[in-house]
Amino acid sequence: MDEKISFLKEICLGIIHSDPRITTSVTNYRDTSGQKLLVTSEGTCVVTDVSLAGLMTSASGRVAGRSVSSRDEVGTVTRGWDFFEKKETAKTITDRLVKRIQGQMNGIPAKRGTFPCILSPRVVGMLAHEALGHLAEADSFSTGAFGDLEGKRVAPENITILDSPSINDGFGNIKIDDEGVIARDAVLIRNGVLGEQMTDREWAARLGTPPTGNARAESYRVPPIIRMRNTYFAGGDMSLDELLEDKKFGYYCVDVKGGQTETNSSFQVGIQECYEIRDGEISKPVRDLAFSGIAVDSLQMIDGLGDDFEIESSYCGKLFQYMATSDGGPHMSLKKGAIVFGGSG
Amino acid sequence: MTLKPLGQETQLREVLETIPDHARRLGLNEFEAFAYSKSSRCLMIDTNRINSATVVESTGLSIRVVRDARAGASFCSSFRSKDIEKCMRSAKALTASNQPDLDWPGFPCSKGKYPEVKGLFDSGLISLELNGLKDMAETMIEGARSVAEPISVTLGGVECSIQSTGVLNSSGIEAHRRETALQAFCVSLWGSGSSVTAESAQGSMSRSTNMDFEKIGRDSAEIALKSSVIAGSHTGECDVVFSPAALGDSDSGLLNIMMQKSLSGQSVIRKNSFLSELLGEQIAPKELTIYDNPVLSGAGGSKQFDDEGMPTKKKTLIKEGVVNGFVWDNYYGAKAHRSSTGNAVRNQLTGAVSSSPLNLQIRPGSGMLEDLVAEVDDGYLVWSGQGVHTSNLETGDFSFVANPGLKIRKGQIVGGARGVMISGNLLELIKGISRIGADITDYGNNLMPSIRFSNVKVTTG
Repeated sequence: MDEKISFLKEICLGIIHSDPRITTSVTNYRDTSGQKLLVTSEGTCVVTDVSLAGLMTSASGRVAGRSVSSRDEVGTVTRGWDFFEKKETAKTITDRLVKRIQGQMNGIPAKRGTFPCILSPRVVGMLAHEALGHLAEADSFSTGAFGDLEGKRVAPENITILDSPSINDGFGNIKIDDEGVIARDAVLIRNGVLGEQMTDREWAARLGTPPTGNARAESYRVPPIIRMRNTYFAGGDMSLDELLEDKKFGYYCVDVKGGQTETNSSFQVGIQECYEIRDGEISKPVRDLAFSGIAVDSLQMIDGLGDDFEIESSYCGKLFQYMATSDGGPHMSLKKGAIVFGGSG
Repeated sequence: MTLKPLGQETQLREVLETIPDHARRLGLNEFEAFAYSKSSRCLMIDTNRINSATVVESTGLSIRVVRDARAGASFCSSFRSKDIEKCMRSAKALTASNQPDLDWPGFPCSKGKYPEVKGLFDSGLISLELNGLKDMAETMIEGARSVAEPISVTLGGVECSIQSTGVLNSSGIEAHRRETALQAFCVSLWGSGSSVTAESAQGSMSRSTNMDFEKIGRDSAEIALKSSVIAGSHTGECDVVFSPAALGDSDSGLLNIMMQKSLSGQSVIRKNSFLSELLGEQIAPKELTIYDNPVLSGAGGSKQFDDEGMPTKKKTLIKEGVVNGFVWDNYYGAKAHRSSTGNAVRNQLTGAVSSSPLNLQIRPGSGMLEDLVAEVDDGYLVWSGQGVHTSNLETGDFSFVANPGLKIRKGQIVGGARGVMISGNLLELIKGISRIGADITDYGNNLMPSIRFSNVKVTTG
């Protein structure tokens, strides 16, 4: 406990002392561990060791009479405290959050409208989760915007999106889902063609497909429903410089503060770290903004995928249940018209 | 099946009465216990049919103890004596890890009487059988489906609950209450596949069985139907009418989400409220008055005492457009040299107590949503805001998609508007309030009417 409290203090004080304009820093850590037991009338009896450690940090301040704030969230379900000792150290978290809030302090307002843009792996992950993932959950699929597109091309040929139960440092990693199904990969889009739906046992039976192991319950008090695990775009072959080089003006979106999708494939993503792109170079930081789009249209306008790959932890809410998930992918380039920016400038 | 825990209020009293003895055995002089017992029945709707019934009986005990100004907290879900003792031992052990808090004012003591708040308990809900809930859910589905054939109820639910709550502390507070609640929501859409509309949700809550389920379903479906014809949209500034749901929904209501945080005394002390330096300043037209009114008869957010056991009262937080005050719990109130306003809210698992409005109430104006729409020459109706939760609650900056959003021309809704993004700062937005409606809806922690705003910045693709 003392070690953890020292860790939190190091972050809070590190943030406060890094810039006199930062007035408040708050960090919350929680870890849980135990066992999950599933018994069914079919003879299933599964005991699973579960653990979760998560850290949420926020910072706020004032500059020129204007309030600014940023936040950071990381977690693990596989590595416990070791994750914070070796990977997400106090310095890593502090530096990342200070850079982010300084971008908000020094940033210029974003323009409103549609522009070419590059999305970082963290933002690409949000797109995979919000713009596509929710619509590929079987309980939403038939009534949603993808309902009449099964087996049809919905994205360029180099686009493949998966929901996987097992990925390195995946916050949504599971071996067996909460109906006792051994979890497997679900390939949601394969080479641009709309593919498999994520299912629980009921929906797998309705569709006549083997279940994917996506039934998850927040706790024993609520029934399992179809939830994502680790959802990501597969990597491409372009460097970040190559993605940038043909853009006269646009935005480079680096970090998100949440998003939401609707059945008509409308998605909205809040951005908390962003930069202008000018003449193929990353330029000035941009303040708080959000973007939105229609997924069935936006997916068609992806014009480049990076050769890198990152996955980030997040929480997803559905039907009043909150679940640990991951999402990610490579850097991605989108044409003008793919998404609309709702800045204040 | 009948809701059963009528006898549990007595059990809560018995549980809380044991707390001083447990504390004495552990050598604790400063302690506080918050206990609840809740029984709920819920039916969920999926694609035009009831697809699940859930029964939940839950109990919880949250304990805070303080030694030498060091706080510790623990939670357990069992009322067995050995579990209560274990919970209190955990809280005591955690005090050793905390630094002394030199601002700790002690647990609150109440010299005032608890207010009488009427209409929080309805015995009609106690005797409500699952069949009764089923009738309510089916009435809601029929209400929606009666609007048009291609309407589908994708999601919905009806839940009734009874809860007993008690607080006891070492400063002499002991308070108990009992309440019932009935909540319903209906989500409709029109069409399917690439022609599908946005989901339009309608919902409400009540302390009694008095709820119009057919109307909830019909209202939800009528917006979906109106969205099915796509009207043109354009970037610019215009009049925008927000529905009560777009302002008050607990997950996506813009005014509710923004004001809950910014009117909290805790946010003021932490300097992360965009209202913290605006006390006494005119921030909106005189038509806007916002109360925190947890003593309002029969309201979803009403209660006689807060989560520290302090009496609640009505406060005027925004008075005719001027910031008039904030709400305080005991700790942050003391830091600001103010008394608690009876606005403590508790995270039961962590034991953390903060301050928040309990029942925000906008003073109603005149007219219904249709009347506000009728005065718009060229603008939009926001039925629900997609992505409101990504707003910056500390700065007041927001950016969301109107989904469903509807186009208004010459006072009439002419169709759905796709991809309409609305962004700005809440302080700018509320300066443009041009009419407040009287069509109040209860969202459980706020009562919200529809409001029309002028000069709202709208971006389309």
